Amino acid sequence: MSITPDQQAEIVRILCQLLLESDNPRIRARAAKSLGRLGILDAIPPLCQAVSTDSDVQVRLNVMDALVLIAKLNLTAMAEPPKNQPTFNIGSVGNLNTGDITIQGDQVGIQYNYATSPELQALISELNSTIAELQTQNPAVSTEFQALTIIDAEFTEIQQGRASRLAILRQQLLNPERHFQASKATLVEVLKHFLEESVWAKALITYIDTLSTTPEEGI
Amino acid sequence: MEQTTNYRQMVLDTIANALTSDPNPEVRSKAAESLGKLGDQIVTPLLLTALADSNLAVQCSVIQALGHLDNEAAVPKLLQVLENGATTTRQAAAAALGHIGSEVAIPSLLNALSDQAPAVRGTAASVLGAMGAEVAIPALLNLLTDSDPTVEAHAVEAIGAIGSQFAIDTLVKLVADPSPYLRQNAAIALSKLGRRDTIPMLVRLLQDPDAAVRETAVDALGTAAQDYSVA
Repeated sequence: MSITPDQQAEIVRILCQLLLESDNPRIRARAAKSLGRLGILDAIPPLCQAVSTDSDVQVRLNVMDALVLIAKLNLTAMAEPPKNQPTFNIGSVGNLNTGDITIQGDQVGIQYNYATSPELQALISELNSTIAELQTQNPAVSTEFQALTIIDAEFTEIQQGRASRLAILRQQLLNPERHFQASKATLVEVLKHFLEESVWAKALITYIDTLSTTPEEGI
Repeated sequence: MEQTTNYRQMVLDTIANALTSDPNPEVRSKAAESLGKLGDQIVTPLLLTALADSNLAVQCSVIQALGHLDNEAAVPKLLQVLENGATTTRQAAAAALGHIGSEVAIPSLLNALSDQAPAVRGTAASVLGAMGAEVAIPALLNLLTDSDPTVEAHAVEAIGAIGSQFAIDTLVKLVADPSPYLRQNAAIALSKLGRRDTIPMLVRLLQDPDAAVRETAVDALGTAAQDYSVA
């Protein structure tokens, strides 16, 4: 089972939104890269917009690579076929991210292996609503560090006995036996893939990443 | 289908605009590179205009892109760059002209063999070799005594690539030259031609009075043997 066209379209939509709206240039640059790997034509207008309007150089560079990749995959009429293929010099190949196309397979693999587990999907949706909640509660927060501080505070509160959604979350997150056989590192990667939309998500990932791998420890 | 055409135009317009208007030279370079990769000849005039970019790195990317596009229309401008450009752009122009492979470029490439910059001489030599330009043989033989060893290596490769009878005759003479240095270079060049009749000459060099020449002869015989095994 692979992801459906609808799901793919949704991912493209989210990535395009991140590309145009995230205030973190690194996120925008990564969104551009991912869009290039996906090679979906619908991403072309937002990518074109980003080339003209993004203030960050690295984003503009990544966006152009993405545009070339998508065009190469879909708009073959753009090239005069036989002439074009062998003309890449070594530097171009490096920039073309030809290796990344194959990485796409791995990503699909990750989505398939772990995201289809009902527990993990529930957890991801739980995390998403937690992030949304944190965002509403703290509208002024704009950096990952600020978000991290608040998340840390919330978790500390849990330790002092207040049962909350976060407490349950933490138990679920740190209980690999019950929910998934995946290592914490894998979990973090999966979460990154699904959540990396806001400073909150980033901060939460950072936080989870720093948590102990042993569930009992510190709870 | 029409949608596809629109997208194609949108991508070209956007990247073309970045090439002409982006304030950052790195981005303009990437734009030029991208246009080269997209391979649409329609951007050739735009790239030719962008040769006047204020930044050298951008100019080089533009020249490379013109090489990728492989459009003869770019040759006259590239020849101008080869004659009057900066070192890096002269080298890039030589490579791009080689890519396009237009015979018209040969006289200028021959001139470039005596360019003051070794990088340009070396690239010109490789390009002429790849083009199989027999007319370059005398000048390439001169480069066998170039002050820069990289240039010599390129010249040897190029002579091997051209592999004409004239080149062989000249090399056969050079194998007996009083200069041990020339004997060495000639041995290397001969070994790359992959011709059976050069083997006895290389074997004779194993008895050369000069130690370095004898060593080179061993290497050269190895190279010649490789060529035969492949063939």
